[in-house]
Amino acid sequence: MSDNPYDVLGVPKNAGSDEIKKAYRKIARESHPDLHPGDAAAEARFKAAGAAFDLLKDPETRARFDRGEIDASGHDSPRERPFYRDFAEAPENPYRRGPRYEGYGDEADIFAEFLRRQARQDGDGFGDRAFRARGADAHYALEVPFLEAATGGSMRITLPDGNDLEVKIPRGVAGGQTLRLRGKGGPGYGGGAEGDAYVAISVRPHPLFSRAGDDVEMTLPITLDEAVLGAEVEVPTIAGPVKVTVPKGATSGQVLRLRGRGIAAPGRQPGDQRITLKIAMPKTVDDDLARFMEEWRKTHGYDPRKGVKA
Amino acid sequence: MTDRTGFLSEEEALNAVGRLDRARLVRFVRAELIRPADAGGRVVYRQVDIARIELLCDLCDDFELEDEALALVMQLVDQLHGTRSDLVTLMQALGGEPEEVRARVMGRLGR
Repeated sequence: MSDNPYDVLGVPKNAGSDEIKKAYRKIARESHPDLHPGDAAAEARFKAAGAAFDLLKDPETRARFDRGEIDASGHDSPRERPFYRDFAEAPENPYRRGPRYEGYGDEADIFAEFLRRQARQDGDGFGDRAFRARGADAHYALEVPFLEAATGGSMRITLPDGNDLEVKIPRGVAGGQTLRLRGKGGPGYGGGAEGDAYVAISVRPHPLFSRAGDDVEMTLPITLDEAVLGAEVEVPTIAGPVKVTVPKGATSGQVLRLRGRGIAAPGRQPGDQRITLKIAMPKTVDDDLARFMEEWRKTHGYDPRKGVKA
Repeated sequence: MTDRTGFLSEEEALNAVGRLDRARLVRFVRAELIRPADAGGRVVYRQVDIARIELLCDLCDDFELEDEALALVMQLVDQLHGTRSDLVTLMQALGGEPEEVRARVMGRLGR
């Protein structure tokens, strides 16, 4: 597709600003990714139209474009933004409407949900007309320490009314996930069910560990002699310290992998712990070491920078 | 700025969405189109809120929707996404069934 903004919007070069706006709106309506979640190409069309409209809606930038002073791409970087559809279909989306899994067994059981809706439709017709409403949902945000998120645990949220709510942290929960606690929201009316509590999770970074998928990464400083001679050292993992063999001749940047010592989320293969070695020199280079190195390099020079070229 | 998974204060939310000003955010929250979360008494916005605010800004700016219309559209949008999510779950469940079950269901769908 041409990136000429007039072509993108499908308007002639002499189009008035109303015409441009109308053309943009039409594309936005037909291609907004959040309004057309099943259309994979919508986002590209919507972004292209947005960029074209941004360029043409301002008479000044439009005039500069027309005079050839700026080109279609040279103007602004495309709008970087999240789209709602990337969150909206997650089962735990707190704004999700319709499906509720009340009292029909496992909430993961979608058939139970269909049955329940069927039952409600059947019953809603002429039967019980009394006012009955589900309680309001409550929304909480919880920052979970890295280790609790990695290994699971339990935390408490203090509620606005002073009570607290226990939140079970599932093993391997990731930031951005939302937990739904059924029935922990506001009370229902007229016999309606309680609302749910949605707990959005963010994970507090750890000074030592970081997470890449289900792998846990860390950097391990080793001494010069451990690097040269090899060693057995104690290394922390999310489940406590383990003994790790540093191979003889280890070098900075070398990665040791502890299989299965990463995050073991339910239903997934456990991740690994990846240890990046970093040789730490002694605080001061004493005479002994300096003297040895002086001698050593006379006969053992090597070039680690072979191939390090710009 | 915070990372992708972090929570945003009101100030950070205002910075994250260029077209958002305080009046508009208050309007969204008051209309319950946006329901920020409570982090130990502090109001925070989640990434899903930010994405939703972007959409609301589009609807306000590009289509000049008023509160009532905005609420109506968002209700439909949420229903649409919820239903799609149901469908995905159902298809996944079906995908885990033996070939014979799937074939039988497909046969029924054809009717």
